[in-house]
Amino acid sequence: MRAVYLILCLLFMSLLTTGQAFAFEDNESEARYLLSQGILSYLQNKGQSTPSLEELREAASLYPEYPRSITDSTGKKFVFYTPVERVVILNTNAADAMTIIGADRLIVGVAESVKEKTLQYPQVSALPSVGKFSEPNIEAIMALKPDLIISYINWPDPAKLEKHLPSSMPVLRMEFYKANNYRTEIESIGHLLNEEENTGRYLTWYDKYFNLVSERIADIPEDKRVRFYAESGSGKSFGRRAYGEGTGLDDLCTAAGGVNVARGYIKDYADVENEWVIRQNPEAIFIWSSKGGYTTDERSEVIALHDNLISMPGFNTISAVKNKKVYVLTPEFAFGSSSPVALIQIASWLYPDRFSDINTTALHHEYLANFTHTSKEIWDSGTFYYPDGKD
Amino acid sequence: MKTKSIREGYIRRTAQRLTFIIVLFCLLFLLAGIAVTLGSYNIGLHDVYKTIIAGPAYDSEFTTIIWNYRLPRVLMAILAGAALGLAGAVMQGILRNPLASPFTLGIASAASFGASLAIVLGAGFVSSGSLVVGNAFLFAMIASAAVYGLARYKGISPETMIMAGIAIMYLFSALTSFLQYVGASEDVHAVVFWMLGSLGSSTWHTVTVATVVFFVTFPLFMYLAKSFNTLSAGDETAKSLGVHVEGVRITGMAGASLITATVICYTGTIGFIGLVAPHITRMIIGSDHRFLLPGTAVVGSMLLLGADSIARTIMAPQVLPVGIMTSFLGVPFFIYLFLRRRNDYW
Repeated sequence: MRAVYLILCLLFMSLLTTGQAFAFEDNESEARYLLSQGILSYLQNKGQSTPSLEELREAASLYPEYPRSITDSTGKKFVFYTPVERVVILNTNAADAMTIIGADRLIVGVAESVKEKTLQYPQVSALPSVGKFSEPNIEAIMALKPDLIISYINWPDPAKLEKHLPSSMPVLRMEFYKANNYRTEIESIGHLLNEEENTGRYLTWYDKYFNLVSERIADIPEDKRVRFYAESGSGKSFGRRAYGEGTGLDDLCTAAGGVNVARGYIKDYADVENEWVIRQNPEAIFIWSSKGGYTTDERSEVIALHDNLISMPGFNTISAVKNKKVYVLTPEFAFGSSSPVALIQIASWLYPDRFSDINTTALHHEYLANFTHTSKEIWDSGTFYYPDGKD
Repeated sequence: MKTKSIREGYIRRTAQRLTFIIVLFCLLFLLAGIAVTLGSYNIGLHDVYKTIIAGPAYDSEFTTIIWNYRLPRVLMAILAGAALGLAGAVMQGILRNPLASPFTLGIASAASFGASLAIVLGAGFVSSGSLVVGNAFLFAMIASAAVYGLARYKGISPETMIMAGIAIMYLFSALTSFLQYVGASEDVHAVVFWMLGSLGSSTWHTVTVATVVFFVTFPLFMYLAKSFNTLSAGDETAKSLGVHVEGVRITGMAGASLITATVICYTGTIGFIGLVAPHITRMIIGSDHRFLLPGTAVVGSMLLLGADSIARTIMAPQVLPVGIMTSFLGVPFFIYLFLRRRNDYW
C-alpha cells in the first residue's frame, strides 16, 4: 500500500517545487498540491496535522474538488481532505456569513446569542445550543460531532475551546463583521464549504456598492471630507465611549468617506469627556446601538440614544446636532452581510448630493429579500437605523 | 504642674490637628481651583475664572463647559471622596476593624447587583430613566437592612455585623456574576465599567442630592464622634461609661450605608478611598474621631479629586476609570506613611 502512495508522491514531486503554498489559480492546482503534501506528511508521519489513510482515500476519490484549504483571520491554515458537513457556530456573525453563502443547512449547533435571534435566523435559531460565545459548552459541542467550529478571533479563549477539542474538530477563528477583511473571510469560507456560486453572487452585489461609494467619493480631498464622531450608545453607563481606529464602525464610516475626529487620539475604544466632543465639533455623529435591528419592541430605546445625545448640555453648538446629522446604527444593519447597504446609507448621509439617485430603503429590502430568510413583517417593523423616516 | 503640662499637651495636639485640617482644606480648595481649569476643551485660566465668577447665565462659549461639566464633576469628586472617606472612618470605628470600609457590609456588591439588574435585564423598582441609579441605591440599602436584620438576630456586635456583611457580599457578588454570565457582551461591558467607577455622569442634580445627604449625615457623625471614641475601648467599657453601644453602632451603620449608597449609585463602586483615607488621616492626626472624621473627609476629597484630575488628563482625550486611578495615586502614599510610622497607630 505504501508503495502506491510513494509513486503518487513522486508524481506530485515536481509540483511541490513550485512552492506557492495556499495561493492557487484554481481548485485543481490547490487540490493537487494539498493532496501531495498530505501524502508526504502521511508517509513521513509528521504528527497531529497528518491526515489519516481514510482521509487520503476519500480525498483521492473526490479529487480535484478536494482537499481544500482555508486560512483563518489569525493566520492559521487548515486543510480539509473531505467536505465539511457539520458546522458549529459560536456567534451571530458566523450565522450571518453561513446564511449569505447558502451554507446554513450545514449548521448543527449554535451559540445562545444565535438562538435569541429568532426573527433574523428562523431556522438556525432552532438548533441546539452550545453555550455562550465566550463560554462554550465543550460537551455539547463534542456531542454534535462537528467537522468545523467557527468562533471570533478573540473569544472564547483557546484554553476554553481548542484545548479541549480533538484535532478532528478544528476551530476557525473569523470575525465576519469588520469591513476591512469581511470580503476575504466570506470568499474563504465560501470556497471551503463548496458554495462558490452563492458566494460569488453575494460578492458581486457586495463589490458593486463598495466600488460605487469608492468611485463617487474618490475626488473629495481629505480636508473636505466630513468629520464624524462615533460612539457606543449603550446608554447604561457613564460618560461617552468613543470609537476610534480599528473598530468596525470606524472602518465603515471611513469607507463611506468620513474622517473620524478620534483618529490619531484613540485606538479601538476609549472614554472621552463631553467637552472633548463639543470641542471637536464633528459634522456627523454615529451612535452604535445594541438595541433594535431584527426586533419589533426596541424602537423607543434606539430613539432614546439619539435624543439623549442631542439634548446634552452644549451639544446644540455641535454642527452635527445643529444640522440634524446624528444617526443611530444597529450592528445587524451596519456590520456583516448588510454592510454594503449601510455603507451606501452612511455615504448618502455624509454626501447627500452624490447619492441622491439611490433609494436606500429599496436597497435594504433588496438585500433582505435576496440574502436572508427573514419575513416581510420585520422589514417594516424593525428599526435598523435612526432616523429612518418611519415616524 | 503635671495637670497643666497634660492640658498644654492636649491643647497643642488639638491645635496641630485643627491646623492640619485647615491646611488640608485650603489645599483642597487650591486643588479644586486647578482641577476646574483642566479638560479637553482648551480654555485659558482667565476665561475659566471669569466664567465661574460671571455665573451660569453668562453668555459665553465656555459657560456650558464650565457650569455643566467641569464644576459638577469637581464638586462631585469632593463630595464623593468626603462621603466615602467619612463612611470608611465610621465603619472602622464602629466595627473596631482596620479592614472595614463602606463596602464591608456588602453595600458595593448589592449596588453592583442592582445596577447589573437594570443594565442586563432592564428590571427594577423605579422609572426607566433612572433605573440604574435607583436600583443601585435600593439594593445597597436592602443589603444594609439585611445585615442589620441578621446581626440583630444574633446580637449586634462587630463580629456579627462583619459575618453578616460577608454573607450578604458573597450572595450579591454571586448574583452579579450570574447576570454577567447570562448577559449580552455589551451589557457585561457596561456592568464592568459601572463597577470601575466614574465621575463622568456628574450633574447639578447628583451634586445636590449628595450635598443634602452629606450635610445630614456629617453632623450626625460628629455628634456621635465621642461615642465612637469610647467604643474603641471595648463594648463593656463603653457601656460602663454610659454609651448606648447598640444604638450608636446601628445609627453609625445606617448613616454610613446611606451616604455610601447615595454616592455610589451615581458614581459606581469607587473603591479604596473608604478604606485608605481614614488610615492616612489616622496616621497623621490620630484616632480621635472628633478630628479624624473631618480630616478623613478632606483627605478622601483630595484623593478622589486628584485621582479624577489625573485620570482625565494623563492620556487626554481618553479618560481612565477613576477607580483604577485612586489606587495608583493612593497606594504609594499609603505605603510611604505605613513604613515611616514607627508606632502602632491603630
